[in-house]
Amino acid sequence: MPPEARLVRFLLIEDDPDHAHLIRRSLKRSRVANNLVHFPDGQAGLNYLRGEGEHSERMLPDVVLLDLRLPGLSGHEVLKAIRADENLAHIQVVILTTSADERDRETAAKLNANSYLIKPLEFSQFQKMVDDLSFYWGVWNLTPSLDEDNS
Amino acid sequence: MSLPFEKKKLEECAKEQIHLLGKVQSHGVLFVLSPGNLEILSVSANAGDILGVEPSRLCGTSLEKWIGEATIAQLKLASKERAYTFNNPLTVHFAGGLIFDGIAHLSGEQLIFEIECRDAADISASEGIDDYFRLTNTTLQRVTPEDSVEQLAQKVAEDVKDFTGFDRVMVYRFAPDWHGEIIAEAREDELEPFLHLHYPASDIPPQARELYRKNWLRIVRDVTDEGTPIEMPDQQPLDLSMSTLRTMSWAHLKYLQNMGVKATMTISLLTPAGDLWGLIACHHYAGPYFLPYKARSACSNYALVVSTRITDRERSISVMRASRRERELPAALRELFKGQDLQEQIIRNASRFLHVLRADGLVIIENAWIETAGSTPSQESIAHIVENIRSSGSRDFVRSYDSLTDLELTDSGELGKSAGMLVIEVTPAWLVLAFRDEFVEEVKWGGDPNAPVEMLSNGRLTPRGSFSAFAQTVRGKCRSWTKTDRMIGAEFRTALSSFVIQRNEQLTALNSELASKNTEIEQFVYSISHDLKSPLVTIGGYIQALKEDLEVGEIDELRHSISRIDNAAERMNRLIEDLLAFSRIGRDDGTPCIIDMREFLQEISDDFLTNTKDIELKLPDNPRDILGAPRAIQRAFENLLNNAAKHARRNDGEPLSIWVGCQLSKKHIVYTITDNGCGIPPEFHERVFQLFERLNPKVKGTGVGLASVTKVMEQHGGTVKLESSDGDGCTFSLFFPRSF
Repeated sequence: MPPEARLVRFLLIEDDPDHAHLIRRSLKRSRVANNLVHFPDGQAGLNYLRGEGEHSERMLPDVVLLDLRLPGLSGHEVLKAIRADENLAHIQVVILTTSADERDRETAAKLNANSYLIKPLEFSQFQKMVDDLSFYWGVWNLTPSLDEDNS
Repeated sequence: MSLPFEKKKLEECAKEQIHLLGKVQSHGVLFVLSPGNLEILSVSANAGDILGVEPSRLCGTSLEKWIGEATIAQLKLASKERAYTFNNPLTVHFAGGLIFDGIAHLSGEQLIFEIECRDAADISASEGIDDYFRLTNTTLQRVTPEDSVEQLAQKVAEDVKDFTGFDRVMVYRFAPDWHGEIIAEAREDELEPFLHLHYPASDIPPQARELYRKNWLRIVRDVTDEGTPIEMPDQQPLDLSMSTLRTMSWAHLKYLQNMGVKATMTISLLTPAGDLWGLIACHHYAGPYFLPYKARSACSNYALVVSTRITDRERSISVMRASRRERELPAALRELFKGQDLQEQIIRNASRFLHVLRADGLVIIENAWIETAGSTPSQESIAHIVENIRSSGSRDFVRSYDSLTDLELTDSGELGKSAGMLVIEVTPAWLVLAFRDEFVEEVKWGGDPNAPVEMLSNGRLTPRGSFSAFAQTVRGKCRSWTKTDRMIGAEFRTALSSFVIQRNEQLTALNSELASKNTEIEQFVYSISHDLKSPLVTIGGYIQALKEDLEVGEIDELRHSISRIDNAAERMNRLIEDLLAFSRIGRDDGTPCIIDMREFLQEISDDFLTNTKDIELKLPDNPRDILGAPRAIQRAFENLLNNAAKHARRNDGEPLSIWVGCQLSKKHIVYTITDNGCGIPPEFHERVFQLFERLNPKVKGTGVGLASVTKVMEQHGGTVKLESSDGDGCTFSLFFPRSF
């Protein structure tokens, strides 16, 4: 049996409201307790991560689920900003996109994305993917505890 | 009798130094004098017969002792000025009362003084230069501008015969290979005609032609006269090139005798460059015949004038023909440039080019590829010919062959009807060959040209005895390619190579265009794969949700899922339609025309304002007309206006204003679309123009609008630029080239 499951905090940056809705719905049905914050564009997501303005009380997520094609800042630019920020660099970033393009994957890998997932066309797989994802990050994978609360 | 032996003898004949023979005709006496003191160094052996004074008595004495004082004075003056020929002929009163024509000229360091007995002349010469004027004027008055070279020559022959009294006068024209043809003839009725007979080049060998070029008139009073020698002290050679009494070679005299000729006079016809063009050949059959010096002089000056006339006429006819031919070329070339594949165009229009080149067959060769039209040799023979041409190492781009046998092809049986060809080398890999069919020509020779000489029993060669017309059928040759043919070929080549250069440039341009198209297509495919998949993911996801919700009976969720599926399907449809519209830009936009921009912008403005609220739109006072495809230009303006209306909301809630402006720059007509909205941050200025890029997720749209504007402007040879800073409105500028 896996060790004790923790609450996994997700931050979703996704411009497509339907995709966001489906991801949220899948996470709700996950075996692992989780929490999801969603922003429709990269700049808003970064503002949250940095605790700017209204987000001063925010909890840093364990995993950022990041779409690539976004209005304004692209997913790659958001990833670059996260890795360049010493307070955020450790956060797990999972690219979640419809693009299977080789160059997109290469760019993501170079920018040290932790994972690259392609949104499946069938929802049963989608559900399973999100479930596995939360299970992996919540149960198997131990993330460093660098949250301000724990330091 | 073996041919090589005969040939060798002919060559020997060609080497005979006829101007150094040292013999003069018997009707005159030749003195070799020392120019200063007029001492007689040598004299022809017939001096005793004609003058009654033996050479032994003459030699070593001064000429002063023997002829009249006035003549001596003239000779001394000429000697001082070293200019003798102007005074010729001098009247010579020889001791004892004889009167002669004296003709002086310098040969090396010696003065040659020839005297001819006036009584020997068969016609009398008039005083002064009357003879010359009479002869020249007669001909020139009879010449018309319409005369062909042959007609002109005929008049010359008739007038010379009339003036000189020779039995037969012919105009003989040399061909490029130096064989000759009689092109005009005037003769006594009882004589057999020689007109149009050809004579082999060996009949007038090169050194004889060289003498004809230098000394314009030779007369032989009696072809049976074997001549009288001149003994030179110490066997010094004597150059008699310019002598009037010099005997002709034995072979030539024999040749004339075989023809039945008794006396002859030959006058040179020269081109303006001084090359031998032909001869006026006069024959006399009744007996020895002789013209006094003045009459001969009139003849040779006359020949000079008619030479100019004849060669001028010949040249102007050839220039006229050439320019007529030249005019045919441009029309044929225009056909050529109508298509993309040049070689295909040549073959398709083969009949035109065959006519222009006066050819029967045309072959295009590019590397190993061969295309033919009309009458040509077999493909194998052509391949063989091409190999031969390419290995010939000739540097001429255009060269002609009147006979293909010169190419030493092994399989001449495959040549078909072709007998000659014009080679046009466009590039080393690309040849055009024009073929002419065999032209079977009947040539009438004056005697058998294959046996110009016969052998006597003593082994000596003698000119042929028979001059009766010998018909020869010339096979294996085409009608000769002329200078004009080669010139047309060269012009054809110039046109073709300029086309090749142009085609290469087009290819280079096409390649770079393709490269940029490839990038565009890649971007396009990338966008499509991503953006079209997105609604599919949505649809798939909600269908699964539907299944689950149906099982547990969550009706509200069902409704939501169905509406989202609807929405995704609709979005996908919109994406596809926008994509199609985008891909059609530049294809279905119709013919470009000059657009009346005042009317055009007013229509766009009216449409725009009916579909929007609270937006003020101002049009330019003085819009400049542009050249473009109206539908495409309309799309560009509409996209920019809609873009402003959708995105440029003001943060303070004030109504939005849009201005359309028009300015002129040096090279462009610039239309600007400016709004006072929230602006676009500079970092996004490049991305907004890319396909499917959107700045604001809350605004509906597919991200095709600005990409379309870019594409429309590219199609019109223009560009689009964006100026904006965050919060301070946008200006999109459309740069149309001032192309009209």
